[in-house]
Amino acid sequence: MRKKLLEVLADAKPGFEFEGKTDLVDGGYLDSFDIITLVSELNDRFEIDIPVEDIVTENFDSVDAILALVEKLSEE
Amino acid sequence: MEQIISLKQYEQLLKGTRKQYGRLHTNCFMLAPETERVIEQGRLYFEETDQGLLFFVDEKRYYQVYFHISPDVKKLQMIPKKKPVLIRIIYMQGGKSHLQNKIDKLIAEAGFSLLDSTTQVYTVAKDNLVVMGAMYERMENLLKEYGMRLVVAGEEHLDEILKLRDSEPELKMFHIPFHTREEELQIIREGGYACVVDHSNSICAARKTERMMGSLYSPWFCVKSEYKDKYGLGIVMTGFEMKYACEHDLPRVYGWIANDNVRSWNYHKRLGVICSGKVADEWVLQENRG
Repeated sequence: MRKKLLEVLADAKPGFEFEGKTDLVDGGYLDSFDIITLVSELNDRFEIDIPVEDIVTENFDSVDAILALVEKLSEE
Repeated sequence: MEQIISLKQYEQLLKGTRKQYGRLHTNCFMLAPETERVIEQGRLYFEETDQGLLFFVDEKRYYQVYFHISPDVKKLQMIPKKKPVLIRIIYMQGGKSHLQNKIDKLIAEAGFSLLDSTTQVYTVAKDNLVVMGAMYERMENLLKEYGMRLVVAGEEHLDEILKLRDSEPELKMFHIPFHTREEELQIIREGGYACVVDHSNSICAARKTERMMGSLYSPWFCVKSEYKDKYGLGIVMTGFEMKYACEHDLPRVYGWIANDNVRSWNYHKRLGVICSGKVADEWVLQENRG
C-alpha cells in the first residue's frame, strides 16, 4: 500500500520528495488545494471515501499520516 | 437556500449525493476546520441542483459558492440571490481538463460572467530579504524624513484600517472574505496587520497578512490615494511582511495577482515573485435587483 501511495503522491506533485518529511502542511509544501486534489486521487485509487472530518492538516503532514488514514478507511 | 447547522449534516448531504451520482466534481478547497468555522458562524447554506449540491458561504457582501456535482451534469441551475454570487475555480496553469472546460461553459450559461483570472505567486522570504533587504531598510528610513513610520497595528487601529480598506477602489470586494470582529482582532494580536502612519498617527497605508498552513498569505494591501506612487509605502510593507515571515518560520509568502493587472505584475516582478502554477477563475452572478 505504501508503494501505491508514493505513486499517487508522485503523480500529485511530480519531483517532490515526500519521504522523510513530517511537516508537509506546516512546512508550507501542501496547501488546501493540494490536499483536496490529493483527497480526490486517494478516493479514486484506493476506492475509499475520506470523510470531511478527516480532512484536517494532521492527516496530511507526512507519508505515514496519509498512509494511516488510507489504511483506516480501507479497513472500514 | 437552507442553512447547514452541523458538520454531520454537511457530511450526510455529500454522502447522499455521492451515493446517487457517484464521484463528484468540486471547486471546494475548504478543509474540515474552515467548514466548521463557517457552520458555527451560521454562514453556510445549501441548495440542490441538477445532479449535485451547491454550498453557499455568506461573505456578507457576496456569496461564495462551492459545487459538488456529477461529471455528467448537463445544466447548472442557480436563481440569482440578493447579493452577488462568486464561483472561484482553482486549477493548474495549462492543465484545465475537458470536464473543467465543460463546467466553465455551464457556469456561463447559468448567467455568470468571468470577472477575473488571477495567478498565485509566492516569494521565498529569506531569499527575498537577501536581495531586497537593504532597499527595504533604505525606504523605511526615508519614511522618517516625510514624518511617517511603519508600525505593527494595534487594536486601536482596526476601525481606521477597515475604513481605508473599504474605501479603496482598486480592491475588489470578492477578494475580501468576511472575518468576524473577534477574528480581525485576533489577527491584529498576532501582528498580522502592518500600517504606515503619519506624524499625527493617521494611517496612510495598511497591509493584511494571515498565517495559514505553514505559509504567510497576503490577501490585500492599500494605500490612501494622496500617498499612492510617491513614498514607496507598498515596498516598505512588503519588507515588513518578509521579515515577519522569517521571524515566524514561514518560508513562503503567497498572494494572487489579477492576470490583467499590469501595474501589479511589474511591481511584483521587481520583487522577484515566482508563479506557483495555480490559477483561479472568478465567475460572478449579479444580484437579483427585483
